[in-house]
Parts: sequence; structure tokens; C-alpha cells
Amino acid sequence: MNDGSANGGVPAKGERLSADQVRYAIASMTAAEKTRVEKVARYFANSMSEYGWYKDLINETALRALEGRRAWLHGQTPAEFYAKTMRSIVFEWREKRKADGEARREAALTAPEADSTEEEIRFAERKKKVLAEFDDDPVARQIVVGMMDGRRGEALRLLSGLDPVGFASAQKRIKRRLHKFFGSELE
Amino acid sequence: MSTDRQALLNLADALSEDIAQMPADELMREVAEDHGYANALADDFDRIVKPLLAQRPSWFGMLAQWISAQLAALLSPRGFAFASIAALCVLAAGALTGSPQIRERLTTELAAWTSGQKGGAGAASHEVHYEAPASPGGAAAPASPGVPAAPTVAAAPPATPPAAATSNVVAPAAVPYVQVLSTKSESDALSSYRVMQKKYSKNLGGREAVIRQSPRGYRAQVGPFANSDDAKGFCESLKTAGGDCFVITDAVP
Repeated sequence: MNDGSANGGVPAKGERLSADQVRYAIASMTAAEKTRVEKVARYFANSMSEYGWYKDLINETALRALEGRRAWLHGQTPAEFYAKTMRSIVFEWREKRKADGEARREAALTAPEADSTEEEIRFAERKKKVLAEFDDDPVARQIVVGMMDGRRGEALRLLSGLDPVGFASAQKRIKRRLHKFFGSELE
Repeated sequence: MSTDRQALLNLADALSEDIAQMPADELMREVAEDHGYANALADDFDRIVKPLLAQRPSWFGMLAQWISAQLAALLSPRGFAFASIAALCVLAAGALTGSPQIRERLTTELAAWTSGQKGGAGAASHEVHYEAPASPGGAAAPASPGVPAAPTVAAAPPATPPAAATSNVVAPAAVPYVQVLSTKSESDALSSYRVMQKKYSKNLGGREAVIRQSPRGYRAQVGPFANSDDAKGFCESLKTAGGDCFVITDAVP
């Protein structure tokens, strides 16, 4: 691990921060930076259908950086570091849960096509709940469906059939609603 | 992976990208609307990471800070000589361990202490000069238990703003702060704020300062305050106690 000793103790851009520097970087985050991280953690936790996990996500991310299991590069903002790390943790946890589920199915000798497990049902319900927020606004609902399909920007606008001005206005309306809704527990 | 699961992840991705680009003032305003006050999520974040940050207190840092705190008040030549000897002993101990991180840390502590001795509260009126941007980790010590609320260093905005699509740089928050000092270097700002904290402990003792980099130096700012009246009130009471300050509505004016 590069501790920056070759550069008078200060790591060059792109070099990883030491544990003390990580500790200090976290302690020095501004209120806005902390807020961004909190919100992103809540979104990812909701995407995992486990809202309460957002605290674990924040904690695990900091722990990995402090223990050197995840490199926090000099020049990376806290929000950037946290978002990337939390996303990769979500993938790991998801894979682990998938593997655990398969192991349980094998042990129970259930059919492998049993995709309609409790968990899958829960994901379907969550998705339905998010979309139900836009039942009164068909255009907005269509845009949210596009976002769920992974569309962004112009591809999303074309899907909505709106002109750029109308799309910008709809997007603002949708995002405010989504941030409020998806950022809190979906129960 | 089921399509529903992927759909929720895609949505989380889209919202995360949006959050990264949202101006700080807008972000904080939304939090205030949704949670009652602007710092609700930031406070929650602190509660989550606080135990983790407190897990491994650095005794080198604490020792150096203790020496610094005890001797900052002793301005006599005898006190200065004792401080120099003590600091050099600690530095030598770090060097003997062969750890570059410890050496780096001790050097930083010593630099912070010596600049505190030189600057003191009067550092608030230092002429400011441009310095290269500091690392997010900075060169100063992390907060340690048992010492006054530590100043924090905010990441400086880049000289050239990155493309909007990929920018994660936090924009200055349009909330009131009180600027208490500005200096030419980060370590000066940190150590001067510590001295100010001690001198005006009734006003600053429990308050955390944000050290922000400006094109001409570093500024210690206290806040954010709920509104400008609160900020003005705080500044007035600091002035009454003998300090100097002014209210700013942007974190980096």
C-alpha cells in the first residue's frame, strides 16, 4: 500500500489514502456530502428490498476503506467513493443471497425454476409500490418504467414522447417524488 | 437476477446519479422538507460512523495533541523549550519504529503545534496566499476522543469544473456559516482554530469548524446555522467575547 511517504507524506492524485487519512476524510465530510451518502445508501438498500441495510452499507464501506480492503484514491470525493463501494457491496450481498437461496433449494430438493420465492415476490411488490406512486400520472409512470429499464437522457425522453421542455419539467417532478419515496422505507 | 430486482437497482442507480449532481443547497432544502431539518441525514450519518471512527484512537495523535494543548498556554521561553524537547522525543520515537505513516503523522502533529505557537488566535488576520489543493485525507490529525470538537476540512472545488455528467463535487451550500479566521495554510487554520476554541471556549468549545480552501488560503467556518439570524447572533456573542467574525451565506464565498 502506498502511504505517500515518497511525496512528503501527501499522496499524489490517484494514490490510495492511508487508514488515518481515510479516518480524517470521513470525519471531515461536509453536511451535504454526508447527506448524499445517506441518500444513496437508502436507495441501494431499497433496491435490495432491505431498507434497514442502509446503515450496514455505510458502515461496511467505511470499514473496508479503513482496513485497506477497498482503495480510497486521493482525488476521489467521499460521495464518489461511497457510491461506487456501496454499489459493489450490494452486488456482493446479492450474489451471496442468490447462492444461499440456491443452496437452500438444493437441500430441499425443490425445482430450480422456483423463482417465485418469497424474496422474488417481495421485489415484485416493491416495484409495484413504486409505480403505484405514479398511477395518477401516466406519462410520469412511463418515464419511471424507462428508468427501471436502465434508460437515461434522450432515450428516456423519446420513450415519453415529450418535447425537451416538457420532459425536463416532468423529470423534475418525477425525481422529487422518487427521491422522497425511494429514500424512505417502502413498507 | 429477476427483472423486478434489476428494475429496482436501475432505479437506485438513476437516483444516485441524480443525487451526485444535485446542488448542495437544493439537496439540503429537500432534506429539511422531508425530515424536518436540513442536517437530519448528516446527523444520522454521524451516528452510524462515529463508533467506527472511535474504534482505534491513535495514541500518537492524542499524545501530541495533549502536549500541544498543555503547552499552547505556556508562552514563556521555558515552556517553549520544554515543548520543543517533548515534541522532538515523540518524533524520534516515531522515527525509530520505522513506520512512514507514524513519521508522517508525528511530523504533521509537530507542524500543527508549532504553527499554533507562532500563529495563535492572531492568525485570524494572516495575509492569505494561494496553496496547492489539499488531499481529502489532508495532512492533519483525525478527531480523537477527549479533545474539543475537531475542525474539519472540506474538499476544495477543482480548479476546472469537471463535466456535469460525471461531477460529484459538492457545491457550496447556500446556508449561513460564520467565518472565524482565514490563514495561508491548512495546518495554520486547524491549529489557530484550536487556539481560538480554547480562548473562546464558551462560544466555540463545542462547535466544529469546517476548514475550506479558497483560491487564496484556508478559512475556518462554523455552522451551518438554521438561518442568518442565528448566525448573526452567534457572531455577535463571539465579538462580545473579544473575537472577530462575519456571517457568510455561501460556504465558500
